Amino acid sequence: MKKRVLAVVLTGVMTAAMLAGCGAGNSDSTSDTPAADSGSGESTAASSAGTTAAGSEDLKDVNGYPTTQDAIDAIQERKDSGSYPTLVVGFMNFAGTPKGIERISQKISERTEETLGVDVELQIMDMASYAQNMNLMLASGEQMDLFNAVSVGFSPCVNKGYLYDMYEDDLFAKYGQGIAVVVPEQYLYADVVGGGFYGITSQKEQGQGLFGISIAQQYLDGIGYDYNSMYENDGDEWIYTDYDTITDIFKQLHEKYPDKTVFMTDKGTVVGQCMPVDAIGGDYFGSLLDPMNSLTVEDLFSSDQYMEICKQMYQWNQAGYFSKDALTDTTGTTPAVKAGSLMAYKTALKPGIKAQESNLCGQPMVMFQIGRENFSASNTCNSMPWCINSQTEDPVAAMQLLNAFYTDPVLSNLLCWGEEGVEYQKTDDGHITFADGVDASNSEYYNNVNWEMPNQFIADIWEGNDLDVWEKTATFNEKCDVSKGMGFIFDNSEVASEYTALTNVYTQYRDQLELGFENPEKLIPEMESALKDAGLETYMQAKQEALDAWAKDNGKE
Amino acid sequence: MARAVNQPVMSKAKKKSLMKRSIPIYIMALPGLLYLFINNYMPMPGIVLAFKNYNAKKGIYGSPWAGFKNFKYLFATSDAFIITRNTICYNLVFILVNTFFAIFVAIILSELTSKWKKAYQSVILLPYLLSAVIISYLVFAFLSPENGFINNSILKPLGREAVSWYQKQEYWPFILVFVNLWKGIGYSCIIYLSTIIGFDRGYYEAAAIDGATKWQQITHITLPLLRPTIIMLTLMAVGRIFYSDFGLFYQVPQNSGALLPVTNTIDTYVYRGLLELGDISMSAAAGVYQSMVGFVLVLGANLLVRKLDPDSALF
Repeated sequence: MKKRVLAVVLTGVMTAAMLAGCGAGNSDSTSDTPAADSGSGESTAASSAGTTAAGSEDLKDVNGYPTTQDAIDAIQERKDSGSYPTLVVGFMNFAGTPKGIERISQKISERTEETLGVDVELQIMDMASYAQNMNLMLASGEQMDLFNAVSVGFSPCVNKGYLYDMYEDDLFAKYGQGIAVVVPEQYLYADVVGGGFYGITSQKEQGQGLFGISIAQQYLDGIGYDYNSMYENDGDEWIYTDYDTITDIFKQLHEKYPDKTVFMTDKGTVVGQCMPVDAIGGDYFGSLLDPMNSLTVEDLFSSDQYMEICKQMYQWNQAGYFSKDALTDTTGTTPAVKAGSLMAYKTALKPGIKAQESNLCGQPMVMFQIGRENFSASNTCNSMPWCINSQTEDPVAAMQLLNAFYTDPVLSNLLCWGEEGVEYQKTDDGHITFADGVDASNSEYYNNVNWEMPNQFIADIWEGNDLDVWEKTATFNEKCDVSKGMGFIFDNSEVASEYTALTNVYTQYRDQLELGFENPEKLIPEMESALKDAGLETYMQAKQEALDAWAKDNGKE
Repeated sequence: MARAVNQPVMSKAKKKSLMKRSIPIYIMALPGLLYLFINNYMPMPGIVLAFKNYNAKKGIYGSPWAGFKNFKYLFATSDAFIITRNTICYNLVFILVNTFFAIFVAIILSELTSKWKKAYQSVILLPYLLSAVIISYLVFAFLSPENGFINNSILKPLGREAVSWYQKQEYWPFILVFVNLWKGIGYSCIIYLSTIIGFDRGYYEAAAIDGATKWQQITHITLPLLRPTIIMLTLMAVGRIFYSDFGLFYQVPQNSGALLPVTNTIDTYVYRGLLELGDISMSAAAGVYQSMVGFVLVLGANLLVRKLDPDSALF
């Protein structure tokens, strides 16, 4: 009898173990609660907020940026009170909390006490745990005044009500005037959702040059290819060219170096980095095929554009330019070049790309672009915005601190590079580099996530980059074709079952098509019918409806 | 539990003294039971997550109810049939093949008297201790279209054309069954072996005196005595028939899309679909569904066993 009881208990335990074993593991979640749609009336405020403070033009802050009387009063009030509020600032890096975090917080506080009357405490977490920790902190109401929503997800944060609306009480207009000057207008208001201003994009390149091809210089020299005469202007970083020219180069490379792989592309990036197609709402199941002019959600996979790119890849693959292992290979492209097994790969272009890729590959690279489109997709600005926590005790101070992060070079250098003389030092030609005896492995503050920092453009420039890289980036950003859907986010929880099914179908066909392993004429119709079965039309319709509503609210169309 | 040989009925007094003697053993089991309670029983109320629209701010119990909406995605699509078929059929084959070979190897090992016996045992167990990622690369070393052993060192010398293994669905049911057997055999083999070693040698000595051959000893002593263990392990495996070894079905085929029709199981489907969605309620729903079906199957299988052979039933 006892044996039986024990057996029942054991079986129960086994079953429970199964229960406990599954399910767990997803750190962030999308909620069903729609964003607080506070009405569409406020949308017009988006475009005028930047100029509300026009009456106080002559007021400047310590860095020479416009400010308001309210802002000056708020700083004075905090200084007079004698006790500075401490603001907690959170962001992620890849290596976990750096050793020097307290010292840098101290240094930042020294500066902000003087300019703003606040103290700052940094919280830097590694990427793997950032989303989970941040979700817990936000949910439990722990203090976290300013944070970057990267990997936590901007859209879930908005939906869950974690973010402070900077339109409230004219917070942005009164205390964020420096940001309005620094961040270009077409990107500044990209994180306005349902009439609420929830985030500000970090200063980085806001678009990408499409269909960039990076080829190691040694192999081009090896086949005696004259690329130097192909640059349009002196000082251009890349050569504008076309598909046939690249195919011709590949052919010669393949003949001369039959043992090396000619071309490689990271999986799942072909559409995003080669075609001016906007994955509106975060996925390709319904995309904007003409994103600069139209807000019509269309099916990418049945389009001529998609057939075209798949055929081009198919042609290259059949000619033997891809590795036969490409379908399963997860090695990055640049390490493969460095290891000497790969000669060329696809990349997105931006100012500074030549130096960056040459560094990564450990040898000079020559950059080409097929076509000349520079495209800024709708999700560019909400992938890593800076946000104020809706539960912050002092939104004014938080806004002012964020404003200072965007405008004060002293703060930006501390955030990006650490302390001068300890982590880094200036070189004779105006760059900065590691301080004596310091390198990437023993530096106490070397986050390498400057793209996530509010404004890396005003920080010093690390050795190996052009000193004018940020001016070039600013020009590049201005010249990008910006998607009309910029700023739209899609809450797909109502069509989540379609989404899961569509993702599975796309996974099945994506790499075979986009890496050219199968004839697209044959395989695309097959995928198309599988997608239809999985509910593509329902999903696209839901997306279109959400987009229409958003367009109406935001005065687009 | 392994010793399910018919035991004589005990008197009450005897039972009591046995209980007393067992107290130290129960104390030894306590930490493990506590662990099970904390890790496996306390989180069980979390099942409600599957029926909620989870919102971190409102918490697990404060979130609004969603009914069966979270389960919809498991059944509503064209893939539902494929992933269910793959999960169940693979597991059935795994149970049959693994049990057969594990017993086969266990009996061989038990008959060995060589001093290398321990070494054999360890070598067979080794794959079980490797992580799925490492196994996937071992498999890749054989199957890689470009540099793989099979294409370059077997098919080429034979004058056969190279096969792009990661694109051809037809081979994978066999590859997966083989890899799973190679990985899992060491572990289940040890359980059977330890049971066999525990058998009373008297049976075999008596049989040998009566002139039974080795084969007769195996079929008439070892296998019948093993039956309760076989049934117990099989019942447990049946309970997990709706689960799949994620590493085996995701890592070993190198997540190759072309193979999805034969490698997509419930677990990999949920993983792929929810990777970007990150919906806790939907993944909880998948877990609840798998556990419920597993629970019902265990009860059903046990019922069947009890009908056929009451002594071997688990409960």
